[in-house]
Amino acid sequence: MIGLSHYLIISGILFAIGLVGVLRRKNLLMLFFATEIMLNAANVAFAAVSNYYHDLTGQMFAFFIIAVAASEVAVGLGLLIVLYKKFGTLDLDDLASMKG
Amino acid sequence: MYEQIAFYLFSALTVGLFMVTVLSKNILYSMTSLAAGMVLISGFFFLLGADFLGVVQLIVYVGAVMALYAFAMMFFDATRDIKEKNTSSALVFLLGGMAALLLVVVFAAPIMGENIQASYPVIEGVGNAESVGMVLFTKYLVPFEVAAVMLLVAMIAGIILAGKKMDHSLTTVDDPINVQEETK
Amino acid sequence: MVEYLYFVISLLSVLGGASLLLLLTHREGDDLYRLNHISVLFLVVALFAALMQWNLGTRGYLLEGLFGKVLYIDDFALLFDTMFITGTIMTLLINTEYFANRRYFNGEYFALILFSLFGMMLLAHSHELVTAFIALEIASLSVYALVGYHKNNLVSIEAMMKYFTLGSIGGILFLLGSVIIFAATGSTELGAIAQYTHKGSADLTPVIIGATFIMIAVMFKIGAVPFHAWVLDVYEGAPFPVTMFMASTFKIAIFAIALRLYIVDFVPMHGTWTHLLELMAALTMLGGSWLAITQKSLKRMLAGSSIVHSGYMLIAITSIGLGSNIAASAIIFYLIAYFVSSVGAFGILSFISATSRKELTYDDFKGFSERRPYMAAMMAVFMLSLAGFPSTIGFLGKFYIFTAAIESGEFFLAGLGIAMAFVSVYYYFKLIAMIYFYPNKEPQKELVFNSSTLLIILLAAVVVLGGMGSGLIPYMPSADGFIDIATAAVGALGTPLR
Repeated sequence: MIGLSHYLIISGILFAIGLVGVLRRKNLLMLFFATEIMLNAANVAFAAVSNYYHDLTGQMFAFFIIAVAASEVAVGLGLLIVLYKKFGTLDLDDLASMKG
Repeated sequence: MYEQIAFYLFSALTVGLFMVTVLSKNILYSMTSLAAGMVLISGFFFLLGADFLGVVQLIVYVGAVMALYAFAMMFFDATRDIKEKNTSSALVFLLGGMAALLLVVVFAAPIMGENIQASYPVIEGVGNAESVGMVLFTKYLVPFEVAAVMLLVAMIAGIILAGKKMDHSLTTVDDPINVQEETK
Repeated sequence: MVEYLYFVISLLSVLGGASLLLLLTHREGDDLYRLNHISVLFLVVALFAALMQWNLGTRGYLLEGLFGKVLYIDDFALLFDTMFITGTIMTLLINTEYFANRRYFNGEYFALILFSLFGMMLLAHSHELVTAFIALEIASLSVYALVGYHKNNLVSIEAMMKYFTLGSIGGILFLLGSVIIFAATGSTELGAIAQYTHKGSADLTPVIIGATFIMIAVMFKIGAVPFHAWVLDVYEGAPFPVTMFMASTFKIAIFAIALRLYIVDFVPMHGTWTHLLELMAALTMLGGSWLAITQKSLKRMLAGSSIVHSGYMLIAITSIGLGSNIAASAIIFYLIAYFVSSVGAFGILSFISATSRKELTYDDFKGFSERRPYMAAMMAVFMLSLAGFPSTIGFLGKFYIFTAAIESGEFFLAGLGIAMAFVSVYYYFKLIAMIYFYPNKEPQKELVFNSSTLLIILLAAVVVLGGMGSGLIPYMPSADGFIDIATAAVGALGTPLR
């Protein structure tokens, strides 16, 4: 029988995959892909908990996460286009000139 | 039975596809596998009885967000393999593995609270889309409207960054007063 | 029913102003001044609406029957509203010359500032993790765009890139924390979470884990060490008005939600977090001081010092967890003090850099007292306040924080904080020394006196008044008044409802 913990574990695994992507990737577009994976993992967890409690709150949260993801993509892609026009690359190592 | 088969199938496929996304050298492969993985994520939502969420996932995520990425890719050279300097791959995988282990332990542990009263319970005999609508447009009306403002802000930000005077090349235009000397 | 709208006039006014400004931006040409005045007009309406609600003692959900438990109205949120609106008005009015001299500013700048303000006010009012998340995203998205506003400037774009990448990761951590808390408590509404955590019977470990993720997201946003990597670059790369907006107003906005969560909802896990917070406070103060000392550019120095100020506030948060009674009002008082002083300091810097294209360094202030004697005096006042010199508001803020730390037995942190305050004297007084003890080399310029100067003088007056005892001027809050305000705001938080 598939229970809640199955879904939560798969969500955790997906989140970790996204985290590996964020840590490993130097290309900004790939980095954004990895954050999308993490957002999706959070969505699965919300839907699963929502199903467990028979409560719609989790599904509501997941809707808003999707909306937030869409708007972040809009801003992020705008940024990518400007960066690409200016620098001709999307590689983080080439972009970072300031040393914080 | 069917739920088990579906769950394991979806899990194996999403994990595999997202692995491709994270590890592939080619942006095109990466993006395609990401889109496919998101389609399968919606399968989880259908299994969990969140039909409407699954549909939204398909329409918004796969339909809109991935299409946006596909459009953006046209600005960049997408067919070429990207070269990345992965200095310490082993460390990254170690960290990622530890994070995975930690999260799985957290999620596998009995984290659910006891005696929880659902704030907005699922109504028996009413379709998912209908009950979602009833909660979303009464109790969550304010966040809903605010989310609209958020999308507006995102649109403005996107237009400011990428949209205005797109025919001008950014490298040739010089601002008369504020060209900061790049001292470093 | 309709009378409840009274409580959201300020929110609606800001939102309406932002939308109207968007409509007005299609006009090309030099009417930035006009747009500036329109936005200030809306903000003044919002400010008055917020001030009118003081002392009403309102506390409760906004239209709970209709909208559910989403927005919460209390004096705590009101105090933050007032600060945000004041900060935005100051940002807009002090920088009038700055954006008039730059070609890259256009009408959307004002709309974005107002949208960001709307997000922050909503953040202070939100009583549900969903609303908090969306409000945070509205504020952050607008600030991302503002940071990268000068898109011809490589530094500005790079700053936006760093801020955006790290900011979205911070947002994801917030989500991860929310999902664990939702799983553990069955609700994302702060009142229900507080009810659950105060029951005492249930096992609270999952809630602690979730809360830790949320607090890490908060630390990301306030730039506490070890999550501070972005602060200096972003503050340097952003246009000056935006840096001022971020350092003074946006930073406080994060504390609004962090304090509400920490004081009311996460009470049972204070014990678990004490050591983590102690470590983080110590690291933040040390790291921030190191960063501030090593900088030549004033913008970067102030950015580094703003990390140190986050460190002081983390001391107070630690003391809250240890059960100090005054720590909560101490941190609010410190927020007010930091807000006033940093708005002033950044205001003067951006006022000076309005007509020059150079990056401001210490050397540029040599002989400043001869060129602009009054402005030099104001700058000295703000620096003294930031360093915590007696008879300024900054001194009282530090005094309360260290008292709270000693009261709760955090002698080490209090000692370290005092030591760091002495270290901060070095980089603040270096500027004062540059202003007063070096000969003037640049030609005498004509003294400008306009609304920006007037506002800076007003801020300096508040800094000095806030550092002295009882009110000399009626209706103008001084030290006592600010403490009363802080205590009232914390009292409104109190224990969870029901």
